[in-house]
Amino acid sequence: MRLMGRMGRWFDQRLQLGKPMMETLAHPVPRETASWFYVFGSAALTVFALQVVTGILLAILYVPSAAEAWNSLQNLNHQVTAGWFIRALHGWGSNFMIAIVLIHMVQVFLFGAYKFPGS
Amino acid sequence: MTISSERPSRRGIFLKLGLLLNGAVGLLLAIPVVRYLFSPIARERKPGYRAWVSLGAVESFPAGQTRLATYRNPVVTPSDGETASIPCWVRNVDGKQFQVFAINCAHLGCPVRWFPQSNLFMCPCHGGAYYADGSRASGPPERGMFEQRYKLEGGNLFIEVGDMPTPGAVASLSVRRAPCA
Repeated sequence: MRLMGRMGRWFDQRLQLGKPMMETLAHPVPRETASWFYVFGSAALTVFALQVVTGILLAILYVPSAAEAWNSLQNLNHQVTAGWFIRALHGWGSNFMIAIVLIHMVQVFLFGAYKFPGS
Repeated sequence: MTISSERPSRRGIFLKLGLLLNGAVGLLLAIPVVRYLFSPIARERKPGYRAWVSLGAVESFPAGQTRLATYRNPVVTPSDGETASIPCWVRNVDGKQFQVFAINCAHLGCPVRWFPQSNLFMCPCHGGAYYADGSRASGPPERGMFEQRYKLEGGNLFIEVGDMPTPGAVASLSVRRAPCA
């Protein structure tokens, strides 16, 4: 545990990330914004990150040619460990990302979150 | 952020709880990602690893001659294409005894060529040369060519593939190197 602490301090000294992160986290916001309406922005970001990671993983194995596309998907779904899961994650993630981004846009528009203090 | 060291604050507890939950979800997602990435080395699930593969009829390898043969790697993905075709040299010693050599030079793995005129395998990369029985003749290789196990069955020549001997794995065990002077 002490070693972990020392390593953490070393990384923080090199990267200088801890203080700005803490400042962002501790930044005072209006009390009303502690609401579930405000989660869609970070949810969209999370799903986007998931799409990037799973997309890169799938692009390693998928062959985008008319002759090999189906075979490569068969291999991906049945031979590769957890391949079906990564593919399903990417497929569902794409649907959820559209939905979450739309909800996020509606929320930002209706709450006027694009206006001055939060702009 | 005020996380006092004496008494855990409400905010500090929620921060740690949040980090813990996020970390748990991240770990849960990381497991399939890591397993996916390491899928190629999960050997036990792959049928065909260490399989007997036919090189064709015995008649296509006349006695006393060395011929090139090609087989498909049994551990293959559909998109591997021509890269899954592996060549090897088949030497019919006397009509009964065979020798099947991996085409790769024992030095750095270049494909060696058989020259019937000089009765030698020669490597185009660094001048390694081998006699007809695969033993080292000259050049940088530390040992002879790698041989594959074979068997004759139903008039066909089979070799055991999947476990390709490589200089890194086998040569270091079988060849005692002289300590560096």
